[in-house]
Amino acid sequence: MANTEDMAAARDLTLSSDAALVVAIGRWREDALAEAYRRHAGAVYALARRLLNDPTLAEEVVQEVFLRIWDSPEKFDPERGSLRSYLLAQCHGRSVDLIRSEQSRRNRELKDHRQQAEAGYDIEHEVWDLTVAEHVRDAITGLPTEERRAIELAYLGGHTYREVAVLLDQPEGTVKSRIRAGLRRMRGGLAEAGVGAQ
Amino acid sequence: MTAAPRHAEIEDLLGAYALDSVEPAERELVDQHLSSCAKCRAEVAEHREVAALLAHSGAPAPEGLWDRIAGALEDGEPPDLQLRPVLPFAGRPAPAPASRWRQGSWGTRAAGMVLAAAAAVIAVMGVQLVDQDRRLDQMSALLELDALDRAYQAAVSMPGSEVVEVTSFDGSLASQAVITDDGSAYLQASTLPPLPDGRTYQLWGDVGDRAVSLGVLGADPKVVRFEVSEQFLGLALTEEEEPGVTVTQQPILAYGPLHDD
Repeated sequence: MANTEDMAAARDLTLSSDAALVVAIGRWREDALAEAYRRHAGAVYALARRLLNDPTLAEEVVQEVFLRIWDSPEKFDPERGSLRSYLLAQCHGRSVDLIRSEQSRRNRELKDHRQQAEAGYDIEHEVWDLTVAEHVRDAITGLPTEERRAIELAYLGGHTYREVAVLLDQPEGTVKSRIRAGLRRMRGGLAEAGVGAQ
Repeated sequence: MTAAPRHAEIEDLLGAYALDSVEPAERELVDQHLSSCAKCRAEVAEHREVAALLAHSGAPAPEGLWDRIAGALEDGEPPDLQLRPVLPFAGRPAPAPASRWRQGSWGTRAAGMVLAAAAAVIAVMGVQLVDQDRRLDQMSALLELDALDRAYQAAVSMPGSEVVEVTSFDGSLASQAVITDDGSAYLQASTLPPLPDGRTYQLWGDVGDRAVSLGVLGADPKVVRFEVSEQFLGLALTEEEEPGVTVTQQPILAYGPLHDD
Protein backbone atom coordinates (compact mmCIF):
# COMPACT_ATOMS: atom_id res chain seq x y z
CA MET A 1 0.00 0.00 0.00
CA ALA A 2 2.68 2.40 1.05
CA ASN A 3 4.45 1.65 -2.21
CA THR A 4 1.59 2.72 -4.42
CA GLU A 5 1.15 5.78 -2.27
CA ASP A 6 4.84 6.58 -2.61
CA MET A 7 4.66 6.06 -6.33
CA ALA A 8 1.64 8.28 -6.62
CA ALA A 9 3.39 10.91 -4.54
CA ALA A 10 6.49 10.69 -6.72
CA ARG A 11 4.37 10.91 -9.87
CA ASP A 12 2.59 13.93 -8.46
CA LEU A 13 5.90 15.59 -7.77
CA THR A 14 7.31 15.09 -11.23
CA LEU A 15 4.14 16.66 -12.62
CA SER A 16 4.02 19.41 -10.02
CA SER A 17 4.50 23.05 -10.78
CA ASP A 18 7.57 24.59 -9.23
CA ALA A 19 5.37 26.45 -6.76
CA ALA A 20 3.68 23.24 -5.64
CA LEU A 21 7.09 21.65 -5.34
CA VAL A 22 8.23 24.38 -3.01
CA VAL A 23 5.08 23.92 -0.95
CA ALA A 24 6.01 20.24 -0.59
CA ILE A 25 9.54 21.26 0.40
CA GLY A 26 7.91 23.41 3.06
CA ARG A 27 6.35 20.25 4.39
CA TRP A 28 9.81 18.76 4.78
CA ARG A 29 9.42 16.39 1.84
CA GLU A 30 12.88 15.41 0.79
CA ASP A 31 11.58 13.89 -2.45
CA ALA A 32 10.30 17.35 -3.43
CA LEU A 33 13.74 18.84 -2.89
CA ALA A 34 15.19 15.97 -4.91
CA GLU A 35 12.81 16.79 -7.75
CA ALA A 36 13.75 20.48 -7.63
CA TYR A 37 17.38 19.37 -7.70
CA ARG A 38 16.73 17.08 -10.65
CA ARG A 39 15.13 19.94 -12.59
CA HIS A 40 17.53 22.73 -11.83
CA ALA A 41 20.80 21.60 -10.25
CA GLY A 42 22.55 21.21 -13.61
CA ALA A 43 21.95 24.85 -14.48
CA VAL A 44 22.80 26.04 -10.98
CA TYR A 45 26.05 24.08 -10.97
CA ALA A 46 27.04 25.23 -14.46
CA LEU A 47 26.47 28.87 -13.55
CA ALA A 48 28.48 28.59 -10.32
CA ARG A 49 31.26 26.81 -12.12
CA ARG A 50 31.26 29.33 -14.92
CA LEU A 51 31.53 32.19 -12.45
CA LEU A 52 33.94 30.66 -9.97
CA ASN A 53 36.07 28.65 -12.34
CA ASP A 54 36.47 26.10 -9.55
CA PRO A 55 34.46 22.84 -9.47
CA THR A 56 34.82 22.26 -5.73
CA LEU A 57 33.70 25.76 -4.83
CA ALA A 58 30.86 25.48 -7.36
CA GLU A 59 29.60 22.29 -5.66
CA GLU A 60 29.64 24.08 -2.33
CA VAL A 61 27.54 26.88 -3.77
CA VAL A 62 25.01 24.41 -5.22
CA GLN A 63 24.77 22.68 -1.86
CA GLU A 64 24.23 26.00 -0.14
CA VAL A 65 21.54 27.07 -2.60
CA PHE A 66 19.52 23.86 -2.17
CA LEU A 67 19.94 23.80 1.60
CA ARG A 68 18.76 27.38 1.69
CA ILE A 69 15.52 26.59 -0.09
CA TRP A 70 15.07 23.62 2.22
CA ASP A 71 15.49 25.84 5.26
CA SER A 72 13.57 28.86 4.00
CA PRO A 73 11.20 27.83 1.20
CA GLU A 74 8.94 30.75 2.02
CA LYS A 75 11.51 33.13 0.57
CA PHE A 76 10.60 31.88 -2.90
CA ASP A 77 7.67 33.89 -4.17
CA PRO A 78 6.15 32.33 -7.29
CA GLU A 79 4.64 35.70 -8.11
CA ARG A 80 8.08 37.10 -8.58
CA GLY A 81 9.41 34.57 -11.03
CA SER A 82 10.15 30.93 -11.69
CA LEU A 83 11.94 28.62 -9.29
CA ARG A 84 14.73 28.25 -11.80
CA SER A 85 15.41 31.97 -11.94
CA TYR A 86 15.17 32.15 -8.14
CA LEU A 87 17.72 29.39 -7.64
CA LEU A 88 20.00 30.83 -10.30
CA ALA A 89 19.76 34.29 -8.74
CA GLN A 90 20.69 32.80 -5.36
CA CYS A 91 23.57 30.96 -6.96
CA HIS A 92 24.71 34.03 -8.84
CA GLY A 93 24.60 36.26 -5.76
CA ARG A 94 26.54 33.77 -3.66
CA SER A 95 29.13 33.11 -6.37
CA VAL A 96 29.64 36.80 -6.94
CA ASP A 97 30.14 37.33 -3.20
CA LEU A 98 32.81 34.66 -3.26
CA ILE A 99 34.51 36.12 -6.30
CA ARG A 100 34.53 39.57 -4.81
CA SER A 101 36.02 38.32 -1.57
CA GLU A 102 39.00 36.88 -3.39
CA GLN A 103 40.96 39.66 -4.91
CA SER A 104 43.69 37.54 -6.46
CA ARG A 105 41.16 35.39 -8.28
CA ARG A 106 39.42 38.55 -9.23
CA ASN A 107 42.48 40.04 -10.84
CA ARG A 108 43.06 36.87 -12.78
CA GLU A 109 39.47 36.85 -13.97
CA LEU A 110 39.57 40.48 -14.94
CA LYS A 111 42.38 39.59 -17.25
CA ASP A 112 40.50 36.57 -18.65
CA HIS A 113 37.39 38.57 -19.24
CA ARG A 114 39.22 41.44 -20.82
CA GLN A 115 40.36 38.93 -23.39
CA GLN A 116 36.85 37.58 -23.78
CA ALA A 117 35.41 41.06 -24.11
CA GLU A 118 37.87 41.68 -26.87
CA ALA A 119 36.95 38.44 -28.55
CA GLY A 120 33.28 39.45 -28.32
CA TYR A 121 32.18 35.90 -27.63
CA ASP A 122 30.32 34.35 -24.81
CA ILE A 123 26.69 34.11 -23.97
CA GLU A 124 25.48 32.67 -27.22
CA HIS A 125 27.39 29.54 -26.22
CA GLU A 126 25.81 29.34 -22.81
CA VAL A 127 22.21 28.68 -23.61
CA TRP A 128 20.60 26.01 -21.51
CA ASP A 129 17.88 24.31 -23.46
CA LEU A 130 17.95 23.26 -27.08
CA THR A 131 14.24 23.90 -27.52
CA VAL A 132 14.68 27.56 -26.71
CA ALA A 133 18.33 27.84 -27.66
CA GLU A 134 17.64 29.20 -31.09
CA HIS A 135 15.31 31.93 -29.89
CA VAL A 136 17.62 32.89 -27.08
CA ARG A 137 20.53 33.00 -29.49
CA ASP A 138 18.52 35.19 -31.83
CA ALA A 139 17.63 37.50 -28.97
CA ILE A 140 21.27 37.71 -27.95
CA THR A 141 22.65 38.25 -31.40
CA GLY A 142 19.90 40.79 -32.02
CA LEU A 143 21.36 42.96 -29.28
CA PRO A 144 23.68 45.80 -30.14
CA THR A 145 27.21 44.55 -29.46
CA GLU A 146 27.82 46.99 -26.63
CA GLU A 147 24.72 45.84 -24.76
CA ARG A 148 25.59 42.19 -25.26
CA ARG A 149 29.12 42.62 -23.97
CA ALA A 150 27.98 44.60 -20.96
CA ILE A 151 25.49 41.86 -20.03
CA GLU A 152 27.89 38.98 -20.49
CA LEU A 153 30.64 40.64 -18.47
CA ALA A 154 28.21 41.51 -15.69
CA TYR A 155 26.28 38.25 -15.55
CA LEU A 156 28.71 35.56 -16.62
CA GLY A 157 31.84 37.43 -15.61
CA GLY A 158 30.42 38.45 -12.22
CA HIS A 159 31.68 42.02 -12.64
CA THR A 160 30.10 45.16 -11.27
CA TYR A 161 28.92 47.58 -13.92
CA ARG A 162 31.73 49.90 -12.85
CA GLU A 163 34.27 47.20 -13.61
CA VAL A 164 32.52 46.53 -16.89
CA ALA A 165 32.87 50.23 -17.69
CA VAL A 166 36.63 49.98 -17.14
CA LEU A 167 36.88 46.77 -19.18
CA LEU A 168 34.97 48.25 -22.08
CA ASP A 169 36.40 51.71 -21.66
CA GLN A 170 32.97 53.31 -21.51
CA PRO A 171 31.28 55.67 -19.06
CA GLU A 172 29.70 53.95 -16.03
CA GLY A 173 26.30 55.51 -16.63
CA THR A 174 26.28 54.26 -20.20
CA VAL A 175 27.10 50.71 -19.13
CA LYS A 176 24.44 50.76 -16.44
CA SER A 177 21.81 51.87 -18.93
CA ARG A 178 22.98 49.40 -21.55
CA ILE A 179 22.63 46.46 -19.21
CA ARG A 180 19.05 47.42 -18.48
CA ALA A 181 18.22 48.27 -22.07
CA GLY A 182 19.76 45.00 -23.30
CA LEU A 183 17.82 42.89 -20.83
CA ARG A 184 14.60 44.61 -21.80
CA ARG A 185 15.34 44.22 -25.48
CA MET A 186 16.04 40.52 -25.00
CA ARG A 187 12.85 40.06 -23.08
CA GLY A 188 10.93 41.77 -25.85
CA GLY A 189 12.56 39.58 -28.48
CA LEU A 190 11.92 36.43 -26.52
CA ALA A 191 8.33 37.34 -25.81
CA GLU A 192 7.77 37.88 -29.53
CA ALA A 193 9.22 34.45 -30.20
CA GLY A 194 6.91 33.02 -27.55
CA VAL A 195 9.75 32.05 -25.20
CA GLY A 196 8.63 32.49 -21.67
CA ALA A 197 10.69 34.65 -19.53
CA GLN A 198 7.59 33.78 -17.52
CA MET B 1 13.04 67.86 0.72
CA THR B 2 14.59 64.49 0.86
CA ALA B 3 17.97 63.16 -0.18
CA ALA B 4 16.41 59.92 -1.41
CA PRO B 5 17.34 59.11 -5.01
CA ARG B 6 14.76 59.77 -7.63
CA HIS B 7 12.72 56.91 -8.97
CA ALA B 8 14.40 57.25 -12.36
CA GLU B 9 17.86 56.88 -10.81
CA ILE B 10 16.84 53.68 -9.10
CA GLU B 11 15.18 52.39 -12.27
CA ASP B 12 18.39 52.92 -14.16
CA LEU B 13 20.14 50.58 -11.72
CA LEU B 14 17.60 47.76 -11.97
CA GLY B 15 19.31 45.82 -14.78
CA ALA B 16 22.70 45.87 -13.08
CA TYR B 17 21.03 45.12 -9.74
CA ALA B 18 19.29 42.04 -11.13
CA LEU B 19 22.67 40.75 -12.31
CA ASP B 20 24.36 41.40 -8.93
CA SER B 21 26.43 43.98 -10.68
CA VAL B 22 25.96 46.99 -8.39
CA GLU B 23 28.09 48.18 -5.49
CA PRO B 24 26.95 47.20 -1.96
CA ALA B 25 25.72 50.72 -1.17
CA GLU B 26 23.68 50.79 -4.37
CA ARG B 27 22.30 47.36 -3.62
CA GLU B 28 21.08 48.64 -0.28
CA LEU B 29 19.41 51.63 -1.93
CA VAL B 30 17.63 49.45 -4.46
CA ASP B 31 16.61 46.91 -1.78
CA GLN B 32 15.06 49.72 0.19
CA HIS B 33 13.21 51.03 -2.84
CA LEU B 34 11.96 47.57 -3.86
CA SER B 35 10.37 47.02 -0.48
CA SER B 36 7.78 49.64 -1.42
CA CYS B 37 7.68 49.60 -5.23
CA ALA B 38 5.87 46.70 -6.85
CA LYS B 39 6.60 47.99 -10.35
CA CYS B 40 10.36 47.90 -9.86
CA ARG B 41 10.12 44.52 -8.10
CA ALA B 42 8.36 43.18 -11.16
CA GLU B 43 11.05 44.62 -13.43
CA VAL B 44 13.85 42.98 -11.44
CA ALA B 45 11.99 39.66 -11.60
CA GLU B 46 11.72 40.02 -15.37
CA HIS B 47 15.43 40.75 -15.73
CA ARG B 48 16.23 37.68 -13.64
CA GLU B 49 14.02 35.50 -15.82
CA VAL B 50 15.93 36.68 -18.88
CA ALA B 51 19.25 36.11 -17.11
CA ALA B 52 18.11 32.60 -16.18
CA LEU B 53 17.75 31.84 -19.87
CA LEU B 54 21.40 32.69 -20.33
CA ALA B 55 22.53 30.19 -17.73
CA HIS B 56 23.72 27.00 -19.26
CA SER B 57 22.62 23.62 -17.91
CA GLY B 58 24.61 21.31 -20.14
CA ALA B 59 25.37 18.24 -18.10
CA PRO B 60 23.73 17.35 -14.84
CA ALA B 61 25.41 18.40 -11.61
CA PRO B 62 28.33 16.19 -10.53
CA GLU B 63 27.58 12.76 -9.17
CA GLY B 64 27.56 12.46 -5.42
CA LEU B 65 26.54 16.07 -4.87
CA TRP B 66 22.91 15.19 -4.20
CA ASP B 67 23.97 12.57 -1.65
CA ARG B 68 25.92 15.19 0.23
CA ILE B 69 22.96 17.56 0.18
CA ALA B 70 20.57 14.82 1.29
CA GLY B 71 23.01 13.92 4.06
CA ALA B 72 23.10 17.51 5.26
CA LEU B 73 19.29 17.66 5.45
CA GLU B 74 19.20 15.65 8.64
CA ASP B 75 20.06 18.77 10.61
CA GLY B 76 16.99 20.40 9.21
CA GLU B 77 14.55 17.57 9.94
CA PRO B 78 11.28 18.64 11.47
CA PRO B 79 11.26 18.57 15.26
CA ASP B 80 9.57 15.67 16.99
CA LEU B 81 6.06 16.81 17.69
CA GLN B 82 5.70 14.45 20.65
CA LEU B 83 7.20 16.45 23.46
CA ARG B 84 8.41 13.98 26.01
CA PRO B 85 8.22 15.08 29.61
CA VAL B 86 11.67 16.10 30.67
CA LEU B 87 12.47 14.75 34.11
CA PRO B 88 16.16 15.18 34.56
CA PHE B 89 16.56 13.05 37.63
CA ALA B 90 14.70 10.57 39.69
CA GLY B 91 12.74 11.98 42.56
CA ARG B 92 12.26 15.61 43.27
CA PRO B 93 15.09 18.10 43.28
CA ALA B 94 16.49 18.79 46.71
CA PRO B 95 15.55 22.14 48.17
CA ALA B 96 18.24 24.55 47.18
CA PRO B 97 18.63 27.49 49.45
CA ALA B 98 20.68 30.33 48.09
CA SER B 99 23.60 29.52 50.38
CA ARG B 100 23.83 26.01 48.96
CA TRP B 101 23.84 27.26 45.40
CA ARG B 102 26.67 29.54 46.25
CA GLN B 103 28.55 26.71 47.93
CA GLY B 104 28.19 24.91 44.68
CA SER B 105 28.07 21.34 45.88
CA TRP B 106 28.28 19.01 42.90
CA GLY B 107 24.86 17.56 43.53
CA THR B 108 23.04 20.84 43.32
CA ARG B 109 25.23 22.28 40.61
CA ALA B 110 24.65 19.20 38.46
CA ALA B 111 20.94 19.39 39.16
CA GLY B 112 20.97 23.04 38.22
CA MET B 113 22.83 22.31 35.02
CA VAL B 114 20.45 19.53 34.06
CA LEU B 115 17.46 21.70 34.78
CA ALA B 116 18.96 24.49 32.75
CA ALA B 117 19.67 22.07 29.94
CA ALA B 118 16.13 20.75 30.10
CA ALA B 119 14.78 24.27 30.00
CA ALA B 120 17.00 25.01 27.02
CA VAL B 121 15.77 21.88 25.23
CA ILE B 122 12.19 22.89 25.84
CA ALA B 123 12.92 26.44 24.71
CA VAL B 124 14.62 25.25 21.55
CA MET B 125 11.85 22.81 20.75
CA GLY B 126 9.32 25.52 21.44
CA VAL B 127 11.09 27.79 19.00
CA GLN B 128 11.30 25.02 16.43
CA LEU B 129 7.61 24.30 16.80
CA VAL B 130 6.76 27.94 16.38
CA ASP B 131 9.09 28.06 13.38
CA GLN B 132 7.46 25.01 11.91
CA ASP B 133 4.00 26.42 12.45
CA ARG B 134 5.05 29.61 10.75
CA ARG B 135 6.64 27.68 7.93
CA LEU B 136 3.47 25.65 7.42
CA ASP B 137 1.33 28.78 7.52
CA GLN B 138 3.52 30.38 4.92
CA MET B 139 3.42 27.22 2.85
CA SER B 140 -0.35 27.02 2.87
CA ALA B 141 -0.49 30.69 1.93
CA LEU B 142 1.87 29.90 -0.93
CA LEU B 143 -0.25 26.95 -2.03
CA GLU B 144 -3.37 29.05 -1.90
CA LEU B 145 -1.64 31.78 -3.83
CA ASP B 146 -0.49 29.30 -6.42
CA ALA B 147 -4.03 27.97 -6.79
CA LEU B 148 -5.47 31.48 -7.05
CA ASP B 149 -2.86 32.49 -9.53
CA ARG B 150 -3.66 29.48 -11.70
CA ALA B 151 -7.37 30.17 -11.37
CA TYR B 152 -6.70 33.74 -12.49
CA GLN B 153 -4.66 32.57 -15.48
CA ALA B 154 -7.32 30.02 -16.37
CA ALA B 155 -10.04 32.66 -16.13
CA VAL B 156 -8.11 34.99 -18.44
CA SER B 157 -7.93 32.37 -21.15
CA MET B 158 -11.52 31.19 -20.69
CA PRO B 159 -13.79 32.07 -23.63
CA GLY B 160 -16.35 34.67 -22.65
CA SER B 161 -14.17 36.16 -19.91
CA GLU B 162 -13.94 39.90 -19.72
CA VAL B 163 -10.65 41.52 -18.77
CA VAL B 164 -11.01 44.82 -16.98
CA GLU B 165 -8.19 47.30 -16.45
CA VAL B 166 -8.58 48.91 -13.05
CA THR B 167 -6.38 52.00 -13.18
CA SER B 168 -5.91 55.33 -11.47
CA PHE B 169 -6.65 58.48 -13.40
CA ASP B 170 -2.98 59.35 -13.72
CA GLY B 171 -2.06 55.78 -14.68
CA SER B 172 0.30 55.31 -11.71
CA LEU B 173 -1.81 52.48 -10.28
CA ALA B 174 -2.90 49.61 -12.47
CA SER B 175 -4.26 46.18 -11.85
CA GLN B 176 -6.19 43.78 -13.99
CA ALA B 177 -9.40 41.96 -13.17
CA VAL B 178 -10.96 39.14 -15.10
CA ILE B 179 -14.65 38.31 -14.94
CA THR B 180 -15.83 34.94 -16.13
CA ASP B 181 -19.18 34.07 -17.64
CA ASP B 182 -20.60 32.80 -14.37
CA GLY B 183 -19.79 36.01 -12.49
CA SER B 184 -16.79 34.75 -10.56
CA ALA B 185 -13.95 37.18 -10.89
CA TYR B 186 -10.29 37.63 -9.95
CA LEU B 187 -8.22 40.71 -9.39
CA GLN B 188 -4.48 40.53 -9.99
CA ALA B 189 -3.63 42.93 -7.20
CA SER B 190 0.07 42.21 -6.85
CA THR B 191 0.86 45.23 -8.99
CA LEU B 192 -0.47 47.52 -6.25
CA PRO B 193 2.17 49.01 -3.98
CA PRO B 194 2.04 47.69 -0.40
CA LEU B 195 0.32 49.97 2.12
CA PRO B 196 1.62 50.90 5.56
CA ASP B 197 0.53 48.91 8.63
CA GLY B 198 -3.06 49.47 9.60
CA ARG B 199 -4.19 50.32 6.07
CA THR B 200 -5.92 48.08 3.55
CA TYR B 201 -7.13 48.13 -0.02
CA GLN B 202 -10.83 47.58 -0.49
CA LEU B 203 -12.58 46.58 -3.70
CA TRP B 204 -16.00 47.98 -4.60
CA GLY B 205 -18.68 47.32 -7.17
CA ASP B 206 -20.13 50.52 -8.65
CA VAL B 207 -23.92 50.22 -8.87
CA GLY B 208 -24.56 53.80 -9.96
CA ASP B 209 -25.77 55.55 -6.83
CA ARG B 210 -23.52 53.72 -4.36
CA ALA B 211 -20.64 51.30 -4.01
CA VAL B 212 -21.00 47.73 -2.78
CA SER B 213 -18.04 46.22 -0.98
CA LEU B 214 -16.60 43.25 -2.82
CA GLY B 215 -13.81 42.54 -0.44
CA VAL B 216 -11.13 43.84 1.89
CA LEU B 217 -7.84 43.00 0.23
CA GLY B 218 -5.23 43.69 2.91
CA ALA B 219 -2.15 45.88 2.72
CA ASP B 220 -0.17 43.83 0.21
CA PRO B 221 -2.67 41.85 -1.84
CA LYS B 222 -1.81 39.29 -4.52
CA VAL B 223 -4.59 37.56 -6.46
CA VAL B 224 -8.06 37.89 -4.93
CA ARG B 225 -11.29 36.21 -5.89
CA PHE B 226 -14.65 37.95 -5.77
CA GLU B 227 -18.12 37.79 -7.29
CA VAL B 228 -19.77 40.33 -9.53
CA SER B 229 -23.39 40.81 -10.47
CA GLU B 230 -24.95 42.19 -13.64
CA GLN B 231 -25.89 45.47 -12.02
CA PHE B 232 -22.26 46.53 -11.62
CA LEU B 233 -21.14 49.38 -13.84
CA GLY B 234 -17.53 49.20 -12.76
CA LEU B 235 -14.96 48.15 -10.17
CA ALA B 236 -13.29 50.62 -7.83
CA LEU B 237 -10.43 50.47 -5.36
CA THR B 238 -10.05 52.56 -2.24
CA GLU B 239 -7.59 52.68 0.62
CA GLU B 240 -9.19 52.28 4.04
CA GLU B 241 -8.27 51.81 7.68
CA GLU B 242 -8.03 48.17 8.73
CA PRO B 243 -10.32 46.20 8.89
CA GLY B 244 -12.21 47.94 6.09
CA VAL B 245 -15.55 49.75 6.01
CA THR B 246 -19.09 49.12 4.83
CA VAL B 247 -19.52 52.56 3.29
CA THR B 248 -16.48 54.31 1.92
CA GLN B 249 -15.72 57.98 2.39
CA GLN B 250 -12.39 57.73 0.64
CA PRO B 251 -11.46 58.90 -2.85
CA ILE B 252 -11.32 56.24 -5.54
CA LEU B 253 -7.73 55.18 -6.19
CA ALA B 254 -8.41 53.21 -9.33
CA TYR B 255 -11.45 52.40 -11.43
CA GLY B 256 -12.29 49.94 -14.20
CA PRO B 257 -15.54 50.19 -16.20
CA LEU B 258 -17.42 46.97 -16.93
CA HIS B 259 -18.77 46.49 -20.42
CA ASP B 260 -22.05 44.80 -21.02
CA ASP B 261 -22.11 42.20 -23.69
